[in-house]
Amino acid sequence: MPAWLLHPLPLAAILVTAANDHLLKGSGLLPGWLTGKLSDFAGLFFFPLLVAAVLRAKTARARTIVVVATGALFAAFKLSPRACAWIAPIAGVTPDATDLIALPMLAVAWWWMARWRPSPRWNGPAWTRTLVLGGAALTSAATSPIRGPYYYHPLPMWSAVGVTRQSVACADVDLWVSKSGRQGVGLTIAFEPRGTPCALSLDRLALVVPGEREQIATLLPERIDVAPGQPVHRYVAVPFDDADAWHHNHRAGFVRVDMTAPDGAHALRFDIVHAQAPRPRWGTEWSERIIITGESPTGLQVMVRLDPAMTPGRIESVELVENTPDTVGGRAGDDEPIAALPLSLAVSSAPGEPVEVPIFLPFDTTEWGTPSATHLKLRVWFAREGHEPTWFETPVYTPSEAGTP
Amino acid sequence: MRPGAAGMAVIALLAGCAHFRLRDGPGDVDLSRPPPAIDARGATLPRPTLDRALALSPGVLAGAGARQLDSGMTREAGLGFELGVYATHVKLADRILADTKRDYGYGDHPTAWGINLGWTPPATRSGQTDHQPAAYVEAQGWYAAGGVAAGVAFTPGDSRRARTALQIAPLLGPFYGRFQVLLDGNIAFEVGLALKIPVILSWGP
Repeated sequence: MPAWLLHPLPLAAILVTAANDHLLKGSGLLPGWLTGKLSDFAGLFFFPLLVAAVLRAKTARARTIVVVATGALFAAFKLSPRACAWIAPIAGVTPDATDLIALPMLAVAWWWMARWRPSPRWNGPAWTRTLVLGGAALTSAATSPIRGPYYYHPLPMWSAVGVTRQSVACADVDLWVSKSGRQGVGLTIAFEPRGTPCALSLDRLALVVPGEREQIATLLPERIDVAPGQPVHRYVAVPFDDADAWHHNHRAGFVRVDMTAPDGAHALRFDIVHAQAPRPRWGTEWSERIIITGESPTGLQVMVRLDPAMTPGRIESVELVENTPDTVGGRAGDDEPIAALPLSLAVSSAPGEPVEVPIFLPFDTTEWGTPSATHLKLRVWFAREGHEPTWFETPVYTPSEAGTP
Repeated sequence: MRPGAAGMAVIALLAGCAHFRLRDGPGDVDLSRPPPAIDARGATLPRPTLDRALALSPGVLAGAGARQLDSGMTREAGLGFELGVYATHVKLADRILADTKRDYGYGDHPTAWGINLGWTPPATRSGQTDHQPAAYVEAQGWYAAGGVAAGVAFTPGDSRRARTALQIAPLLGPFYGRFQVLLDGNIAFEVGLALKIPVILSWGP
């Protein structure tokens, strides 16, 4: 029965699938749209032959059932992210409705089983049939998701610009946008002690965007006690219809913070802008934990994602390392460090809430703009409370390796 | 269509050109909680929104079934064309693979509602072509990988009872079934494969 597979055509389909999944995807040799479909076309041809061979489907009805079942499963996986997640432990499948264009290959597979009769020269010995069956099964099960590079697609966000650090009596006050979306913005205010302890009052915070109504933060005023060596952080939410502001081209504004300090009242102004950043030219392989979200000549903006079960914990450090050929697969300490940022950053979350931590990794990114053979990895050292530090990492694509997205 | 033009159309579809984003906008964010690491300078990432979308879905339907005639059931097969227009929602990915357009999915509870306009040219149909309706209009609801469509079938310019029917079509992935009750009292059913290539127009909130 595997004789269906013992022919140059199905064998070529198996080889094409294997080569596409493990060599061509992400290599840059072929365009992404082509490697994204190649395995679907080749796989839908040989996979029903494989299943029919394994099940010894001798009758036309049995072969038809195999073909129809293959189509139904393929469609389910391509249409349902949930189905893809279910099969993820044994095969990487990406949901994509446009892949259904490969379905006519099922008709070719059905026709092949119905019409093709092996000539004696394709009746190889038993071990060749076993080899082909094993190879086809392995190719089917070991389809891999595309390795990369993947680039983050920034959405419009507010961010603080210009001078963000201002002095008030015993503290320097810093402000940044820590959340931004269509529901509004979340602001973090940092009070860095300057020496003597004192008490401040955060009286009022207003977001002023010309053309929009002034947005006043609720839950204020609040007393802030500043002591030497103990910076204080406060989070202030300012809800408003940011989608409306974006579509009305309201791209600039400021945050006014009214405070009372021992030396009197202060009105601080922090300028903010509303912009959609360009896609970073640095990419990564697909990673659930590490995403490069931005770049500048002075470093990379990185997002670290943790599962709720990983908190409370600490992000100990972030590193960019170069894997020399000698250290591939070796221990973490064997790599050549390029940049390292010690942090000891406490991370906590509400039960069930996934965690995101933005981190800026400073280094000279311009050095990596020229063609060079690199094997860079971003590595995050992390320690759960009461556990030994561990690390996770992802391969990194520099602009010269990946080209401009 | 000339072979060259057909080839270009296939390449365009394979290239994933079938999604057009008409308007971008801010993502979703939960303002009620402080960031998990409050002293980390920077912003957490807004999540891509579940955007409204319109799917224009032309396709070819190939099916086979049976039709009741006065002389009994008779087998028949046909090739039809359908244009579906559906209201749905899509969620765009936050990361893009190199050399590709921004990928999208249909969210956690993928639903679509809309109408189908179908036409089966008599020349593509086996059996008694003068007995059955040639066109149909139906409403369709879709959830995850399955759905159902129901409507009326008729022959344009021919309002005889024998050429008009009520029909219902269960759908599963690319497969469909269709059951018709003709107004002359006869019935027909068909199962087949629907190959439809949706063109998605989406816009952010």
